[in-house]
Amino acid sequence: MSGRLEGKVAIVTGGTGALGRTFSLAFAREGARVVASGRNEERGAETVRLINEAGGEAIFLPHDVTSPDDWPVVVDHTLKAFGRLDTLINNAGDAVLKPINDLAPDDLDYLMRLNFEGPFLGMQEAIPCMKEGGAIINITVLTAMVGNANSTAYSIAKGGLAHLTRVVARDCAQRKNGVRVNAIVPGVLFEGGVVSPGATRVHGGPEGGRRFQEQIIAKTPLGRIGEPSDAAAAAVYLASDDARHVTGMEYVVDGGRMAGGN
Amino acid sequence: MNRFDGCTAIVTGAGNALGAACVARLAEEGAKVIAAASEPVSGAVETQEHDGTSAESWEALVATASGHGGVSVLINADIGFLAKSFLDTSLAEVRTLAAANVTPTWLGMRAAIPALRNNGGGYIVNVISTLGKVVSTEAAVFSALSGGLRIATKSAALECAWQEPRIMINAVLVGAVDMPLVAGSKSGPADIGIAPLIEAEAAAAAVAQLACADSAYVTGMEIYADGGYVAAPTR
Repeated sequence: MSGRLEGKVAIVTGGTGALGRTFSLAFAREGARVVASGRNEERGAETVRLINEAGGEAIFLPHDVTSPDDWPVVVDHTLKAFGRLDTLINNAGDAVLKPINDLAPDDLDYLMRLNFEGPFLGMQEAIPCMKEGGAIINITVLTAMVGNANSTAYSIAKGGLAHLTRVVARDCAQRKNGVRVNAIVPGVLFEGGVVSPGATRVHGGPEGGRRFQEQIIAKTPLGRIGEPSDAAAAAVYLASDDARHVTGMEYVVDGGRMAGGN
Repeated sequence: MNRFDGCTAIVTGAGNALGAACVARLAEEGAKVIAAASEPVSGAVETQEHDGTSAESWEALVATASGHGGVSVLINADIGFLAKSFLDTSLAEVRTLAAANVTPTWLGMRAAIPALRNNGGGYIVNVISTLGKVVSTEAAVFSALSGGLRIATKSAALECAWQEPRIMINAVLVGAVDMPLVAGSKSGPADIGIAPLIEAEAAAAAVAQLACADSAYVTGMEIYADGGYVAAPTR
């Protein structure tokens, strides 16, 4: 059965990166029209090209998710282009992993703006435009569920987003607006098992990135790093009517790490 | 895309709304389904009488499924509900509840895991009540046993995850859905208003999601098909 998202329109923030591109492609494949938003126009255009090539419909919109001014423009443009909005995937995000005393106040500010304020603004803007069947999907991280060294600032932002997901889910349920709000909690997902540029940077270069990858594999019950497509399968489900009774939930895609407490 | 093409699945509790919906959904997506029920189930390639509390019955069920090209999916959808507070529940009722919920799921995993391994791995999905996560005093022991099943699901997932061929074991936590009543329960989950009413088809959609390659990197996890009850309990 194909076309689980037939007729739906989705915004994917950070539709320029590996995970966002995979979400965008998976949604288009299931019949959704996709707005891939982000700051890198070239990579956004590539996402659109790949979707078009596969016979799907998509546009790129320039978007800084931390900007309160950008959000209304992106949502308006989406409605003008496609006439509706069904799903928002708050995928744009970033990590800075350092011991607490090595983190600068600016690091916290950066992580909060990108990982918490961005989704906050997005939900405020998108939810009123959604009808019955609307779905918000926030992307959090295992560190939003359990503590981890070097993650103080990151886990404030992502843990806050995880709880905001529950709060907004409840708010929407009380308003009976038909919008569901869930989170996907990915473990480590690298395309083709190759350490991502982001992980390479966060872990201090190629050597650190490889070491990180080995550590993760060693503590992952399923014995491998995941693929962005593993998270995309979860996103398709959460956005589809299959998940019509699912809200305020964290959909963990981590190779079994959380089952044993990470 | 048929997510269950070429796949043989066992669904228990198929005589009830939940199990029947699971049979229908998996069959619709291409699975050959062996239904455990006393009457023929729509969509199943074969229906077999089954006593979930009997290890022999489990062996026979798995053997039947293996005869259809090797079994790769087990859906434990056997649930029995009793609305009763802690102090009012007798030991006999505890055992009745355990026989209705715990024993079939545990024996089922035990019987299916070797067969799934022989077939190159696969998926097990346990259907459990959302009361295993947010307890109800009105269904006290049912809540407790559902909680035990949740953790047992994770334990089994960890046992199977570390070795090849991999078996992914997850749970769907269902809200108030039409389920069999045991020990003379006078009320069902919907009657005591513990969680929003949900359709069996939606529970089955969550089961399907966890029983196929969409969940190849997901194990020991649970989907709450409960109308948001876990996130925001209404009582």
